[in-house]
Amino acid sequence: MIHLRINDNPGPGTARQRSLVAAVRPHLLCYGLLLLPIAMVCTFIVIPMVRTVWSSFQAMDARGMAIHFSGWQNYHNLFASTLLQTVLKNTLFYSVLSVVLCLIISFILSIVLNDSRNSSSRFLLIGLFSPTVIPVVAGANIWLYFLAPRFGLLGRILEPFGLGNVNLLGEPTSALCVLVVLFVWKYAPYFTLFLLAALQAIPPDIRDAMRTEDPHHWHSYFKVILPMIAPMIAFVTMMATVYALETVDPVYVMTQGGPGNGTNLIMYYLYQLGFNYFSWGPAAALSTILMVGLSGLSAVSLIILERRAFHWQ
Amino acid sequence: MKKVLFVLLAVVMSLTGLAGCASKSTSGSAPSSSPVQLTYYYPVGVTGPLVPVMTKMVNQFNQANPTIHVNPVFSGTYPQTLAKVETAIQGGNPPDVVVLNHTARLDLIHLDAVESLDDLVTAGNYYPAFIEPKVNGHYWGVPFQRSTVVLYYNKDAFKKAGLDPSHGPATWDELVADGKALEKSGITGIEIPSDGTVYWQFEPFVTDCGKNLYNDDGKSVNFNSPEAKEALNFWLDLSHKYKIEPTGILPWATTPDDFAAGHTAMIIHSSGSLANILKKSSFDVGVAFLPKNTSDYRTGTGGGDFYLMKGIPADHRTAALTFIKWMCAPEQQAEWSINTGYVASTPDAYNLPVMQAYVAKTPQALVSPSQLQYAQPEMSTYQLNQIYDVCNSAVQSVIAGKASVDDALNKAQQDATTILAPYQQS
Repeated sequence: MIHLRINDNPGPGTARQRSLVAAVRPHLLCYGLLLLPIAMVCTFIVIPMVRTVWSSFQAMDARGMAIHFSGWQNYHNLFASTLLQTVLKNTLFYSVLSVVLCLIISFILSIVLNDSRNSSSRFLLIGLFSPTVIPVVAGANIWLYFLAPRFGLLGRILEPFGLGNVNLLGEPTSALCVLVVLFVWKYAPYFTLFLLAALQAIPPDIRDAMRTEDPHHWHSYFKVILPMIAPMIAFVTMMATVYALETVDPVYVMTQGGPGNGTNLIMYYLYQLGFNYFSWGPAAALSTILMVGLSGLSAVSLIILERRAFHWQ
Repeated sequence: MKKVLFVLLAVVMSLTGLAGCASKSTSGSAPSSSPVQLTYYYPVGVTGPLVPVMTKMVNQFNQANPTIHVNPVFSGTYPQTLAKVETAIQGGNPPDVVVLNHTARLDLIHLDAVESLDDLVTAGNYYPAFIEPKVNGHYWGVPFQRSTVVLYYNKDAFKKAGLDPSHGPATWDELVADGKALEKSGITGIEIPSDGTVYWQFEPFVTDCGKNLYNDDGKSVNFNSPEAKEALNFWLDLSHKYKIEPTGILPWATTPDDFAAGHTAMIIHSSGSLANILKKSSFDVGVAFLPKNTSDYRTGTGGGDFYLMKGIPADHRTAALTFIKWMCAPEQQAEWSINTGYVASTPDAYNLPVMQAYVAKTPQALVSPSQLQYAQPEMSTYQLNQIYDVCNSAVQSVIAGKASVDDALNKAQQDATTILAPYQQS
């Protein structure tokens, strides 16, 4: 050990530099190849991010050009709007309902899939997973046809009950619930995979032990299985929250925030502020708040996954 | 092996990058012999397959004008098109020509995005209802795809209900009476779409009562006027008191299908949907003026104008003017009107043989132009999309039963006043 350390100890001055060059040289190609992606990340992510934060403290004209420094004025204007309160209420309702439903359904699905590990479950998995790989915009358009009053699948099914004319997207609360259903339809199967992975990572000897000790499973589920997959549930909750807060495409396609702002969610409102209302200052302020909030949530979920996911091993 | 692959990949990627730059720079300094390339954004604001019609017209223009090549870009709805234009301006790469809502002019002038088109507008013989009023002493858009709000009715259903199929309801009272007779014969009386941009169907009912929703300078609105409240109460009564309309919010996109399928005997819709409705209906379709209340202003105009973007190269500007002039000429207006149902923006179009043959076969197409003398201008304010949203959500919250007429319209008035406050000072 000692011998090695003496040999490794770099000499002063030139020797140290030489060893640095020597260390880098074999990786030169790698760094060179990385230049392009780094440039792209800077152009499309870092620079716009910094500019957004800077813009949020500037007074902006209708074309999005900064006029002068304005302190917290944009933030003040943003929160002065009564529409923002409606939007926040909608977003809270939508996110909580989406995340809770997503968790419950994906948890049940993962247990069912884990318990029936045979060839039939593979087709079930493919079927379940298909909504996740359909692009949101395409999926939302399919749902639009389902829900079209009188013509859509739903209208046809309800026709015999005299409810063929029902227009779920025509009423604020039901329209918001449709968006929740769309979210669950798309993401519950996706999160099922995460929970299924956590369940399948439990060593078989633990299951064998459980089988002999507690044949009815109930006690062992709560005392053994649940604590083991708890970090994954926490991670899935975080991710679902982030995804729910980020929802914008189905709103754009299906309701444009209506009727009566009933489905106006925070990301859609941000788009409206900028591109429909030309209120670039408040839009930048809202972007900054969302950026801090969402990256905070993402960071928490990553920490959970990295540090605690497999702590029982 | 792996390394070689990486290097190859890197080379390919950088080459495609270079190729991108190269192609851009050549198109910028194109030799004068090749045609001027114009970018043209256009929205579709009514139901029906309008994109192939537009593409065909642009191809005709390109063949007739070898020195110009127009590239049409379908850009969604009117607000989506405005958002795209706005983004393109900020990116320093604006389109040359664009069709936008004619009411967007105040915002476009405020953005310093468009040039005035006085020469083109005064040279063409356009309907005054489509070009007035001037803003800042200039005309800014050339009327292209213009429409009015009309009432479509099912003549067969009228006969069956014992009503005179030769005309639609002339007054609000007649509308209620006809609706009740139709309901008795087993068909829904009327459907007025109320999702999306409902202000447009709502506005003529308000002017019917004697006052428009906005004031001419575009800096203030009258959302909580007694006239607006009377109109909105009448809408509510149609569903709840007279029971001749389904309750709740009805979608703009599917009411024409409902009508064509014989589910409802009357709808209020854009005259621009005429071609689509005639094609889908298997019965005799009647088109009528909107019913009258106390005032003679019984319809609103809508639709899009051609705008010329500011700051494009001189050769593009000349080419764009040629293109706009061609598209708004009587011959093209006749073709566009026949294929879509939009009103031709000039009376000259109706004197052309092709148009006379069309209206002889489809007399319904004449209702909209004859309605123009009773038309009130469409609401046009600063911060237009935002003001529209305020009005739409107020009307919708009432129809959805979430707010009373008074509360919703008073709040809308307050919100709109706050939004327009900065313009009041200037």
